[in-house]
Amino acid sequence: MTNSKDKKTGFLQADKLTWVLRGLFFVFAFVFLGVYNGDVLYKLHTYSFFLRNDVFAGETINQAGGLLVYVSQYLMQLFRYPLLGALFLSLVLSLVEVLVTKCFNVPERLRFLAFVPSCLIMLSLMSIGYALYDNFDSSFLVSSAVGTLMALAVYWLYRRFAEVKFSEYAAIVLCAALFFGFGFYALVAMLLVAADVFRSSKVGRFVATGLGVILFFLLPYITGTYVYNERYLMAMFSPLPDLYFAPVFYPMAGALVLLAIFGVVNLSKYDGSQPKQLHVNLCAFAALVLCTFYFSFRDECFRTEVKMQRQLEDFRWDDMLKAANEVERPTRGILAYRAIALANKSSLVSELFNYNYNPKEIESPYDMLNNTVYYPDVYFFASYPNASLLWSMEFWVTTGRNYKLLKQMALCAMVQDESELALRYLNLLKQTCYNDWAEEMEPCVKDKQLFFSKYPAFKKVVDHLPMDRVQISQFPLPQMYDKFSNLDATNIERRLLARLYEKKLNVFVSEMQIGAKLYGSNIPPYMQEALCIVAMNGNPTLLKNFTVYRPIALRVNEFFSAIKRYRSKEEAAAGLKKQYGDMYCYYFAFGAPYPISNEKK
Amino acid sequence: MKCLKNIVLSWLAAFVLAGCSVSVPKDFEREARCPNVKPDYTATVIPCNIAPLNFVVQEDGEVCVVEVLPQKGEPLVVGGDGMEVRIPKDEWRKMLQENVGNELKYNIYVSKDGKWKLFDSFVNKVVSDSIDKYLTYRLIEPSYMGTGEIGVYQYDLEEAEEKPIFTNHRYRKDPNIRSQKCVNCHTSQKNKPENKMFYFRGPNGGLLLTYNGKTTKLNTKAGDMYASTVYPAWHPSLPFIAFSSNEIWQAFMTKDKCKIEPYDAKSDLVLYDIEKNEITSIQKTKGVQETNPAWSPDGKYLYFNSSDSSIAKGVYQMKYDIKRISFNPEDKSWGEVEMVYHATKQDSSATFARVSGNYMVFCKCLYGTSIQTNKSSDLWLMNLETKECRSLTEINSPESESYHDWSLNGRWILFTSRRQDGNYARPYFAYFDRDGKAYKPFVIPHEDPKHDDNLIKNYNVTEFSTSPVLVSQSEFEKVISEPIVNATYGSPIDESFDGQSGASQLSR
Repeated sequence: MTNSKDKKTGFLQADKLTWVLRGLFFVFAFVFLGVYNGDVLYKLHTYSFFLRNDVFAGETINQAGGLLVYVSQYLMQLFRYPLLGALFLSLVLSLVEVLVTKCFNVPERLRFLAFVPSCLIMLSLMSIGYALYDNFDSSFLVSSAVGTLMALAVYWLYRRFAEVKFSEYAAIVLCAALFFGFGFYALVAMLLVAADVFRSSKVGRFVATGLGVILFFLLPYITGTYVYNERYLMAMFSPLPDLYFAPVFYPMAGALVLLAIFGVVNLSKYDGSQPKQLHVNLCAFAALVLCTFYFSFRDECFRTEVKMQRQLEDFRWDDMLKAANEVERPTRGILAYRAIALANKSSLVSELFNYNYNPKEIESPYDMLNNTVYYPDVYFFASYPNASLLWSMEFWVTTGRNYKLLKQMALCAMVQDESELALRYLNLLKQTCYNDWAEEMEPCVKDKQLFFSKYPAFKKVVDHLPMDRVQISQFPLPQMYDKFSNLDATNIERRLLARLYEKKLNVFVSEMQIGAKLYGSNIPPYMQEALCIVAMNGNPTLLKNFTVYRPIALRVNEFFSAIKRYRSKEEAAAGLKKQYGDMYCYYFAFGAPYPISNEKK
Repeated sequence: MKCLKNIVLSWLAAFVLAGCSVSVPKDFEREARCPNVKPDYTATVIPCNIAPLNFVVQEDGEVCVVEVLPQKGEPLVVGGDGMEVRIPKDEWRKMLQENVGNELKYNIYVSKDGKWKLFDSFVNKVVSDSIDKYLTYRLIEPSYMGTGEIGVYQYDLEEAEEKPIFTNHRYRKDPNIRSQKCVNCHTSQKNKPENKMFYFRGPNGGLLLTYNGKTTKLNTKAGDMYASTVYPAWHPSLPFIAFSSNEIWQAFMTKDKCKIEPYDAKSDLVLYDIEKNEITSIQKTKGVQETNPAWSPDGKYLYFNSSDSSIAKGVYQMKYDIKRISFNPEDKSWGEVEMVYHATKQDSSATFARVSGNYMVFCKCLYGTSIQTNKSSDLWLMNLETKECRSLTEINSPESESYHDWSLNGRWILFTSRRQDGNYARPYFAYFDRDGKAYKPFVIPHEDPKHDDNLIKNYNVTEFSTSPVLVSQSEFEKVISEPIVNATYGSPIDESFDGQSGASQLSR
């Protein structure tokens, strides 16, 4: 027994502790989501879709948990400004903690437990990663937090009126009705109510509990079979992601299971005065936060790729290059975005191979169309809008509808003078949160001068559109330049670079006959190096036909002598990177050619 | 409390205003031109059983009022709420029934800044020839490699209501069964429309045939066929379906509005006898491609396309003629092949023949059979008695026209056109009178006139039907989960042919 003074002090202490923890949690959530993962949130937003029209509302709501999905897709518009979205999510997750504390009487000494569900939800959200490219519904970012909040709010409401006669039946009926709109989260609320009734001493508690349990299993069958035509488990768990998305599913399921456990176990019985509860709580809370951070998906390449995609939208070429340079081992996506930035800074020919051109293959359990998500961008900026449109549509149907692809389709139509088609896409975008973008673009549809003056990068795209209507093969970009580009200066250059990319130096040399006319005595260093390599490999007279400067030839010679000092290729690559990493020779010796998967075959 | 009162009062006011009937403005200025309305339903001929032709008035203004003046009966006044015009179904239906053979005159008033303008009126003529109640089609993105969300739908043209027959959406949504699942080529038997079929491609797929009330999943690749069956043609009354069996490829192009070119590397014709579950060869000539079969209304002739050009020469060199072959249903025997339209002689390609009475409508284009993507594809009409042939200029546009069909009474031509933006095909209907003249077509009407503006899918393989599909998606799914029935092959086998699937493939 504690005296009244102790009680008062303890209460105040606990109260302060709670608010301190809440404050810390809010700050952590905001910083973790909005600052550390701001680009990821933005990416999730661009991969969501919400249209202000009846057809969209009808088809979205007409699925298990459809209303929650619809509301979540609406709220996903907030994440166009990641800090605003993070603020919203932090608030909702904080509210989840408040309701967990209230609903389950979480004792002071175990106060950190109330934060576990919110942290698990946050972990689930930040584990989406590459799942995004696999038809994953990114509105889960909102539906998970809002759905959990709704389930707790219903349960809390029931507990407030638990003494009213038949309140348990009213709560179960409410949950059953909510199931049609909120899916599994309504079933969680129903389960919590049923567990609470079971623990109570109410008359007829077995009937109410039994009804709750029966409806828990029956409702998904009814909706899945007769309303939405969905598999039973999908109808039950929607809008939770499928188990296929395991890194996202397990933490979220963990959060909900934990709530169910809190509902069954009487946490208040663990209450008591503990002298070091502050330290225990703070330490446990810190561990919780660290685990959330540590176990989240923090893949360097993924984060860089989404950052570069965001920078591309604002034509921030320097930032893109900076981001690419910070990556230890880039993916092909990063290589592609770096190439876009270099091309737009007109430094492709001088900088292309001054990089770690040994792409890392993405290891992901998800189906991502052979990691080609950057194709719509790379084809667009390589002046192949039809190929960009083709890939945009491909992802539209496979990874799901989203703002990014719709904008891309509109741009493809605009650069090809397909005004009616562009207007169709812009008309749709006007019904989204990109209304401002669509309105800005609309006058540009028929006014090319305005379009180019506002967006010089798109003028470059138009300037190099293909001359011929020929078949796009399903090959990577280097082969595209080989087969279909019209031979103006820029395209000759891109074609020559493509040859260097593929390390097809014999073809490069034969095409250099055209290139020599273009460059005269100012052949770019990479090309001079490539000519030296060919000359060193049995064609010494070759250099007579081109202007290759002596320092470059000597450096190439020096490079190949230096290689011989190393025992393995890996050792040589590491040892020579600092001194020779800016040379074509380095790429030629250690970099992987672009179509790496084809080469393997 | 005060706030609540205000809310209630404003709701009541809105309710009362909404209940007021719209009246025709008394004071207005005249604008001496026809108003722009979308879809363009001006000056056309409409059937007596079509759903309301709702539209949006695309003029500078805030509100419009539309007065529809029939020659018989009370005028109909709608609008008063923005620039959208949605005509009530019951009143529209009554007006059409009372005015068969008459004209409906539309007066459109537009208000801007409180001032009304009256535009020149336009008229629609109502004819007694009804249109088939149902339209079936597939909705699909205009450019694709992998299979996205695809569905086959039926549309009630009297009620303006769409219902899915079968969609792959559930399969696409479920990551555990997300393999390629294409749905295509829905068709029904003209004189027994309750008999229907479509394909569900991919693993566990097949031809889903509903015949005499029973649905079966069939494998129609039999014998030495190098591909499964593709384009179907039900015999108008007998239990036979003629098919082409095609090896289809898709080529994507670097520039131009025509972004994709599907083409056949090989194609032949076969006949499926439903009751015997047997496939026999109709036309299998090496070096010659036969495709797109279609029966004459009496079932005595099978029309088809034929080409002896090789794909090796390129997509643009693939040119087809229209031919026909007589059929004896008694012993399933075939007569001699006759040339019907010699398009290759004119260095063009003719395809997709559809016959009604003495008339044949077909697509004529510069090359190939990919009429839905080919901008040069126009509809042509041939009088089979006189052999007179002409372009249906009343119908055609600079963009592609394709997938045409005749209504059962032969008075309506259905076709899809990409005229709106060059990429998205929409179904159009044109009246065809007894003198062989076609009239200005009108696009499929929807309750929401902006429906098709917001739809970024193509209407594909459109076809009329006089009866609805009664089998539900879940019943089809049940059949899909059952073992497949293999069709037998009743023709001699040629060992030199290779096997391929019937779905289209990417060009190398």
